[in-house]
Amino acid sequence: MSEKTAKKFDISKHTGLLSSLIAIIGGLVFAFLVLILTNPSKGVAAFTTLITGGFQLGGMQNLGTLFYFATPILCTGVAMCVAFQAGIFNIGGPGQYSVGALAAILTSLYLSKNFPGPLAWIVPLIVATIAGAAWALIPGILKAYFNVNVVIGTIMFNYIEMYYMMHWINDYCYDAMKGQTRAVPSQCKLPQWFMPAITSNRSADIGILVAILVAILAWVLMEKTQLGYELKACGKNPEASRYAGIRSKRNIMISILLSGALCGLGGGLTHLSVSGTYITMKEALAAEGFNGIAVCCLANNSPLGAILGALFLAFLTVGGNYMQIYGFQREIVSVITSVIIYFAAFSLFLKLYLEKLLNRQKKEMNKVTGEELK
Amino acid sequence: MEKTENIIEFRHITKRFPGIIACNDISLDIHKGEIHALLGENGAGKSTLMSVLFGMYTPEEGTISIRGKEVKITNPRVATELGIGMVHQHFKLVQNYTVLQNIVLGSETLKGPFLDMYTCRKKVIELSQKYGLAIDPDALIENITVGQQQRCEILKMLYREAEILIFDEPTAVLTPQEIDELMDIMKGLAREGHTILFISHKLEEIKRVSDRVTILRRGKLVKTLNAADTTTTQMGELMVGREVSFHVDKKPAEPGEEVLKVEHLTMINDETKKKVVNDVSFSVRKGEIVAIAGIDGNGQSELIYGLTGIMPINEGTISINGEDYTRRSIREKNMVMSHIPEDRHKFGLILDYPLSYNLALKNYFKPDFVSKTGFLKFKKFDSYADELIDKFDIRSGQGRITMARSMSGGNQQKAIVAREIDQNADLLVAVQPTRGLDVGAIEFIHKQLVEQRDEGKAVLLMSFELDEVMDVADRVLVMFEGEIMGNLDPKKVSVEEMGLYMAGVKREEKQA
Amino acid sequence: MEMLYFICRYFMYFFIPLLVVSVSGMFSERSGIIHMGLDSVMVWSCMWGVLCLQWLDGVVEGQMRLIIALLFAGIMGIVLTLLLAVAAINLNADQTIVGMAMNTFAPAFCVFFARVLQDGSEHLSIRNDFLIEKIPVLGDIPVLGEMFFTRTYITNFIGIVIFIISAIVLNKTRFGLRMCACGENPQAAESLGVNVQKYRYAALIIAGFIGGMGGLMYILPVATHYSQTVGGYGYLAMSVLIFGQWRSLSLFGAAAFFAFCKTIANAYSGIPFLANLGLPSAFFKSLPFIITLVALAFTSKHDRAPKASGQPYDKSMR
Repeated sequence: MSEKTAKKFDISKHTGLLSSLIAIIGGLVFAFLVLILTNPSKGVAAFTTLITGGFQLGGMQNLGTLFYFATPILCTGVAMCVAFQAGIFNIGGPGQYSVGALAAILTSLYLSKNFPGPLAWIVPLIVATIAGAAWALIPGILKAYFNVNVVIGTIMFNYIEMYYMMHWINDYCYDAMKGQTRAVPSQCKLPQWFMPAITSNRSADIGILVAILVAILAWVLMEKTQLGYELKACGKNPEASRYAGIRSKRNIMISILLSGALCGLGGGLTHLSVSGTYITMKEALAAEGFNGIAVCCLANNSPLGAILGALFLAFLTVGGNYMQIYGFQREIVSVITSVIIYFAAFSLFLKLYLEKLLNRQKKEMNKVTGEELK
Repeated sequence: MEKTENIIEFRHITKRFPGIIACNDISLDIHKGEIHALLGENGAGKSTLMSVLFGMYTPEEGTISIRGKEVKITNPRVATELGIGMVHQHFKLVQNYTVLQNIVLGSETLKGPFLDMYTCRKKVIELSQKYGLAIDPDALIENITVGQQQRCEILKMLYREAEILIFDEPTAVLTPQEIDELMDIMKGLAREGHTILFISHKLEEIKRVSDRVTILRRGKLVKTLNAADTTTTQMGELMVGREVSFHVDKKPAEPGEEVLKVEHLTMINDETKKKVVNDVSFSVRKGEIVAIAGIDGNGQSELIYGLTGIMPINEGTISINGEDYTRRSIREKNMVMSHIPEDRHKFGLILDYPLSYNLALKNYFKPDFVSKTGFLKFKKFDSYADELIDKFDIRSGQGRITMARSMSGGNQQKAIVAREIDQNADLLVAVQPTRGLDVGAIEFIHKQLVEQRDEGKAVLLMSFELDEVMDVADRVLVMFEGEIMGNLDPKKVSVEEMGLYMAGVKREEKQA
Repeated sequence: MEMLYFICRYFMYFFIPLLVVSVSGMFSERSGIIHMGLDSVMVWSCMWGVLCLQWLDGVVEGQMRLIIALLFAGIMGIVLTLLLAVAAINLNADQTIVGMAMNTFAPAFCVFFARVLQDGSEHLSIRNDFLIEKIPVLGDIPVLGEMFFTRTYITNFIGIVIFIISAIVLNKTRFGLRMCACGENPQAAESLGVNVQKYRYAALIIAGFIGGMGGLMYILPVATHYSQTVGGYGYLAMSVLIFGQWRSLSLFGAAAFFAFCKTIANAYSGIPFLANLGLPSAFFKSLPFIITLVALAFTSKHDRAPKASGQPYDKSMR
């Protein structure tokens, strides 16, 4: 790309980033008000803990925790970016994520624990990925071939997953003593490599590295390849894509399966983590799935931006957990997340408004040249 | 003329849109009881001026006086209270409401807390009889013809007791016969004391119906004339600012072998189960331009959708160069058929893709543009875009990286034309290729179509503009209610006769 | 016969909130605004309704306590729905994303808030003394009396009244005519002097009020405490709306159909034939969701959705 191109893209990125920042600030301000109003004496301290990610309390080992929280929401966030860019509003993250998690657990318990070396953890990850995609298959078919609203389709599958999950856990991997899924065999857990050293956290593993790699691959796919060109074309104008001979049904399937696969992978990575994660016997949708939407909104649908978005939300989550020592509930992080999504919903409006503010002078100039062109 | 009481006085009206001054210091008087035409090209500012009068836009500068009193028309409600009504170019009707519901919407009569449709209906029927606007008040808008929809719009104004009636390009969607009827209605309304403002770019009509005509060009008022004292040529010159040739220069066609052959094509609407295209057969040969004419909504669009594969067909065959293409995919059809689509925003462009991506929309998957591993070759995208931009003079703010959305309509259309012509396919399907463009761009596109023909391509042109059809085509197929009514030679048929075919009154026995 | 009465009562417990909340969605969508946040409105207003019940404990007694709480829940429903209104009407927001934001916000905030109020526990208990054993006269009608007028809640009748009024408002009044025009063709409405923004605000305020009451109506018969969930009822209501094609009467039928499925799902263990099938409870619990999808698969090809719904309406657009 020429110099001119690079310059132009900088400006548009600038306002995009700015609107993300406004969303974040909006969320934080709202959280601050809620904290102050609920407990005026401890509110400020709790808020400080929240926005410093608890680092002054937990020290560097928090970096490992941060990565641990960032891994699943990065995967689901990238999953949403891919789907949203293709115009598919996949809300099925929670279901796809949990099914992936269960698939990874079951595979490691029953199949891969005797596999040699890295296969012991690679195979469950692959199965998790496939399982996530499989959970997105029917909503995809319903959308592509029966025109069923994809939001409704994926939501329904979330609830179906929620009810069946307990049934499956109960039948195949229930640890009655702890009321949760059985522990994954240690040889099936993710390797740690150099991660404990750089995060000074004994249970840090390579999960975050895999997630970042996936984000980069997704970005390359969307920006540099023929498939990405087609997927984005379908997202931006499905009719024109059809006119150009792009098979829209196939693309709907590809994007939703890809999205489901990424969610499934997120579930697998989290539940094979060294720190150990379990599914509890509770009728609830996995928050990691919904948080992917927030990550994606923060990132303006860019898989690369999702890396930053996921790290930021994870940072808040760590802070939110520390905040509990002041007697505040960590749900405040979800509240912030929701405010961020809310702002993202009209980010286009914000962006246009900001552009108007920032480039008022420039616009005047454009107007003159525009008239000359006419 | 003795009636010189001014009912409307525009003074120094200026209205700006981002990047353009739509109305530039316009001052104009409208006499009570006259039919006053506003003439100008697309983008000359006539619709904007009327929208200002109707309260849909607020002007930055200038004042409007109605019946000698200065008024601020901030929204359509105020305009309605002042007795101003408007028939918009694109009808503002709620499709799944009845005619009656559409008419009363916004000025309903109530009985207690409920709607009193009985009284409303009586009033509507009275009005429709008084002004000769026959219509079924209980028909759903989506089930009636465009002409009837227009009557519904007129009734809407009369129902509100409007005295000043604005017609925005009312004839664009009508048959010549329906146009005659409308002209009579307008004259009748003027006799009853209504003042009529009539926007058009069709010189003949203006000459026929209006008392005075005001010509606008690029947002500025050029001149106001008495229609009786002027000629269409003079008006045309003033409108464009130079002498215009209303005729496309072209040699006689030398048709070669058949490229497209359509046999017994039938398409059925899924919802209404109506045959929107009914047993249509025709062919297009190398080196000729065949036009499909007709009033909007008689199956032309569906026929094109069926041909190009956007909509499924129920019966019949399509063959191209002797090969059967009936069941081929859109992509396969695209390889032998270029298609300038009807709606450039819906089909032609991906507005949030840069120009270079849009220009490659039909090519991006070819080996030149993508590597074997699936990676796009951006260098090729760029060089190809620059080549087309250069060849077809596509103007945009930042060249190939301009987002299609920020380009002007004319240049968007040029980009599509460039892309499709460069496909170098044997068959070029052009649907409404000049819709909404100014004279310069129209000339350019007509020239391109003729050039394609002369290079030995088969060209299928679909247009609602009768002038365009008569000028450009070598052969005209007229469609009415899904059927082809005639296969005509535009040099041997008059516009009036064409109108009879378009209205379904006349039908040719032998088919093409 | 006992079985029939049992099923019938169960049916009403599920039918009424589903009907009411889908009516709420109908107001929003017929005015042109997609309401993905129905679930959040239910969760949120349900909490306020339950809190109101607690506050009124000992102050007001009997059905009055319930009615005041319902009104309060409705008002809080308006408060939350105004978030959607501002974003969608004034800020041209993507309405689906706003809905998702609301759906993220409500459960999280309600957990947070409940825990703050009660020092750690998120479950709010409900003292439910609203069950009406038998309505005089009506309860004595053979069969029908047993089915609908004994062991019932006042909310059942309020729900039916809401439905009837809403059907009349939409189809027989000036407000309905204008509001629906805003959802079909806002440009047309505006050109006739209808203030589209005003009507959309009005529609969303009504939607918020009805949806808020629906939240409390849902929880009363089926739970003894509130735990920040309404079992996906908001989403089911949206499906009912699509299945009912955005029209009052079909909506009634669609809600009845879904409520029936939900009744089967919850009462199957009491129905010998179904209990003996040996299917896991998960199957019955997810049955309404599965059936929703099957039903939608058959009805979604040609929908009669309001044409302008979901599109930001920009006055300045030509």
